[in-house]
Amino acid sequence: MDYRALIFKKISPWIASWVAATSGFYHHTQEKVNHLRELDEKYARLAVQNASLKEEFEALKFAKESKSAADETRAFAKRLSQDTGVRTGRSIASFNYKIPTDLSASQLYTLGMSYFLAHDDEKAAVILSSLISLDGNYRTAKNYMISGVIWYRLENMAQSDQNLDLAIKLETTPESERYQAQARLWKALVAKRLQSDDRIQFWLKQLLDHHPHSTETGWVNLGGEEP
Amino acid sequence: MKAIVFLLMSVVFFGARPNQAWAQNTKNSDHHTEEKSNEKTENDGSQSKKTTTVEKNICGALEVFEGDVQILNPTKTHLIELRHKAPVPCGSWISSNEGWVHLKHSAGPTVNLGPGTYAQLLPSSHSKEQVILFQGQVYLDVNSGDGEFKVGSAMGRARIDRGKVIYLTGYSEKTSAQLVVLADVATFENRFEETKKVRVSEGEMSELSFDLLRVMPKEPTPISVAALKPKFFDLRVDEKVQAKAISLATHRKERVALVHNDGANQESDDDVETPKKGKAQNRSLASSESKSPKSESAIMHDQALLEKKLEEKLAPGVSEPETLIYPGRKPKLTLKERAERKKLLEQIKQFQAEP
Repeated sequence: MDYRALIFKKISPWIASWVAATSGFYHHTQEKVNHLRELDEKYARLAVQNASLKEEFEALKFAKESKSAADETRAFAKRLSQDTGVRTGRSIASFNYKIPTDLSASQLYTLGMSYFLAHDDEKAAVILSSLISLDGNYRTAKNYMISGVIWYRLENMAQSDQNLDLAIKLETTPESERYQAQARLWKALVAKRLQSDDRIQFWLKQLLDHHPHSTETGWVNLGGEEP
Repeated sequence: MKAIVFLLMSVVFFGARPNQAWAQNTKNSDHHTEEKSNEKTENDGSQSKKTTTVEKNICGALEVFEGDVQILNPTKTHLIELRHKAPVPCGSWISSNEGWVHLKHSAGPTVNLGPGTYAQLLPSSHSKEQVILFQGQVYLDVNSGDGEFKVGSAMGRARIDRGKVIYLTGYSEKTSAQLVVLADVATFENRFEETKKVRVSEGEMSELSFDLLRVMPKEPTPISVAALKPKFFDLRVDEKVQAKAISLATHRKERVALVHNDGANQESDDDVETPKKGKAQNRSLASSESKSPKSESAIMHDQALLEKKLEEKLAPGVSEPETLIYPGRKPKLTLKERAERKKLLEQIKQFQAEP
């Protein structure tokens, strides 16, 4: 027997097993690569799904909050419309301002007037309302009229109307007369804001009747008597 | 012999293959790759189509980002690759869980989204807001040429023509939205009651909440610097802007304090820092602060000036009004006259000393 054939006979099973093992290794490597690729794709898909779900969740939450806000706004506006006459009217309960406690009434009045002039109406309303309710000296036509103007600016027509009424109802003196004339004009403006044409006419007529020579009448009745 | 070995080896090799698994696998993988390539081409095709449509609707560009950030495209099909200057299509959802994003909106303003924020970018036209904030906080820097920029949440909306603002939502159960203006002016409104807007100036903030029984935002109040500092960090606000905002907030707070008398700082708003006892009690307000006493020379100067004015009033056109108004007083000499007088006196002294 040839020695080459003998050697080949001896090593051939080893070669066969080696080749088999190598092919198995290649096969497993390919499987792993495929698996990794699948995992990678799955991860990307899941990331998109996750982001999409988050978007859906946030969008639903947003829609719910929006609906709730819209409903609440409508309900509040309706209630405010009944209380103040205007949908966006503000009442004293909605002001987050507290009056300084260590000031005298006159100092508070000065502060309130400075807020009124600076159009910081919420603070001015709180100060003037408390002064009028607590101190009788401040229940004058001028203060009631100013208070009416402040509430008009704050779109609380009911409160404004009430204050202007109080200014008009006070006894007419030379000092209070001009404020009462202004109060009657403001009453007409309040009626205009409340879209009540009859009441606009009524208060303008009242102004012309009670204060024919006033500046306010001059503004209203341009062709009439000179103030 | 070699041929036999080769044949044997090939038989052994192919014989050792686990049936047709390899071939199948190869086929599968080939098919898979083929499918993939087809998909890819399809995807590429659709992507290119999408890109062309999207490019027309680009709402911003990603400038800087950090941490866990995700941007989902409007069709919700893929996440946008995060890189510098990456285009962000209109309608994209941006989520910054534990990170922050700095974007440049196509309308011009810069948009910084803080951690825990979820927002959507929208185009300037065809939408009421350019940024919808679902949750979290956003810092906006709008320049004058950018036009009106609007940011909205479930309940509120802020309009900025020009300014730097921070808009927050969903941070508290009680408050729906908050607007903090760091520079210039912005308006704040209820989305469902657009008729009434609140103007918020620099150094001020306003809140929107139903707790106060009102449909419009709260009157603006001075911002709290202490509460603002963490927001600056979260939103990576520029240091110059921070310094300016803090100075404006302090100035605005002083303006409130000046209205009241000493110790009467009763500003009850939660965000307004009330002076704490002890340290702040002894602090006097700027308006009542005593001025440092004037120096003597300054007082003398003032008196001289006053006298001169009085002389001019009482004796106009007179050469020596002093003698006329104050007969007993010696006339005032100018520096030159004084020097001459001194010189003469010295000369007289010399004459007196000679004999």
